[in-house]
Amino acid sequence: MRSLLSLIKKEIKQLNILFIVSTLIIVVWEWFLITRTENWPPGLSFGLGFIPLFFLPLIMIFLAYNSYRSEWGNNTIYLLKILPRKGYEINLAKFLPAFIYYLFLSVGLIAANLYFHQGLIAQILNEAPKIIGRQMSRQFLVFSFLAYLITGIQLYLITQFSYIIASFYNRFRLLISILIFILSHYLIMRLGGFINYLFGWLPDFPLTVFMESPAGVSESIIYIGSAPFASVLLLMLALFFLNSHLIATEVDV
Amino acid sequence: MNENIIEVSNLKKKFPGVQALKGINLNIPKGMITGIVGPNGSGKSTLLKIISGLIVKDKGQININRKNKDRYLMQDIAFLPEINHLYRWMRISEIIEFHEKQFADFSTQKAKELLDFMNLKVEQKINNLSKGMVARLKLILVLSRSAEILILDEPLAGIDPASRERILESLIGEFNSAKQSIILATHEIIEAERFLDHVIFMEAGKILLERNADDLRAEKGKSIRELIGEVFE
Repeated sequence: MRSLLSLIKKEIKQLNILFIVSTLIIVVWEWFLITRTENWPPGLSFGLGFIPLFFLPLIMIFLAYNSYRSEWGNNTIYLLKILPRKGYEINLAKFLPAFIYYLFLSVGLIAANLYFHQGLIAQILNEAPKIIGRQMSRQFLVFSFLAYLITGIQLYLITQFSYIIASFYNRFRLLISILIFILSHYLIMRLGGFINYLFGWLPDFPLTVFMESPAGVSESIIYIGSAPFASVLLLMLALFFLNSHLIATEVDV
Repeated sequence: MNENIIEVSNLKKKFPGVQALKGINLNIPKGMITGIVGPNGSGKSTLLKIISGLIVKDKGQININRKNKDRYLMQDIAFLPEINHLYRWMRISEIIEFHEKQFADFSTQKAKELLDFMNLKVEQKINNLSKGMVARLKLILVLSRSAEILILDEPLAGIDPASRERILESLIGEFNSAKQSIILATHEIIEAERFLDHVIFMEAGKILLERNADDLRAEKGKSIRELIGEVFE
């Protein structure tokens, strides 16, 4: 545990400039939007406030691509590979700081947006059919956020896998990385489809929806399958261990 | 007769366009300093990297302490690569702390003593160290471990003569032949010769000669340095 924490600490120190700079840019952007709320049309600054959420997955791609590229570039891959650590420990130490950064920044961003635009949100809810309460918005937010987190994890691991596979070749590494990145997404989608059946026994997530018709507003419950979530998570876990194995035992320095 | 710490049989490795190792067979004796000498591209570094687990062999077998290397605990090998493999943004104190947490056999006390001996300060940043200072620091990190096998790939390359002498002095001073074995690949045979117990001559991915250093000197009536020219003719 001590050795893993030391590895994580090393990774955080290595990435701290990127973390600090990107967090500062986002904070400045959000602050700017908050100061414009009164002057701009309602909802504009609220909508723009979510833009950084589209950039965070790109940062995950950057972090994953550089996770081992920087080690090779600086020859520090020698040090990593001679450590008496298992591949998954080395990979976990790389993944955790990136994921925690992604998680905290996205939670912070959403929370700040909701907090600073409470008036607007209350107005939207008031204009909607009265029956639509906070429960639906909360459920929707939780599902969307869960999907967003899984997207971040998936992008990170697939990018890392693409880079590792490309490192087996001496030429056209970037091109190979891009091809593997695209192919891996397709394969995960197809494989996920097959694995879904294994998780058929998992209970589905209930989601309350409201339908408006001439007769009025009616409430019903739809179910979102939990099997796709579980199969993607299982595939990500497998990819994580595959990346770890490749780094520890298959890739030359 | 000496026991072998490492036994290599039919080891092969190919890189694009070049067969780096062409079926190497060799034995590294326990408790000795073994020198691997040979011109550039002879396969010395590749051999050491395969033994250290840094690159993957194509074929062959490596036994360490009579166990197949694939199942051997790599924590018993301390490897010093030729290049600077340390995080340059770290200070010496940080890299020592990092090693202390990663290697169970690392002694911070010993590292500090060696730092004093090698004229290095813990607050120095690795990025600001000269090539000779980095070489000394790398050696300190290896010698501060009580690993059974020390593998040193060109520890003297590009180092000024004064630093070389200091490096070799600490290497020999810290070497415990009852518990450790050293494998050393070097071009700097003039300085290293007096410390070598066993010599392996390599060229173009093959072993040309492997012998006890004293036996070889006695048999040929020449120093290892003089023999190099003869062997690689």
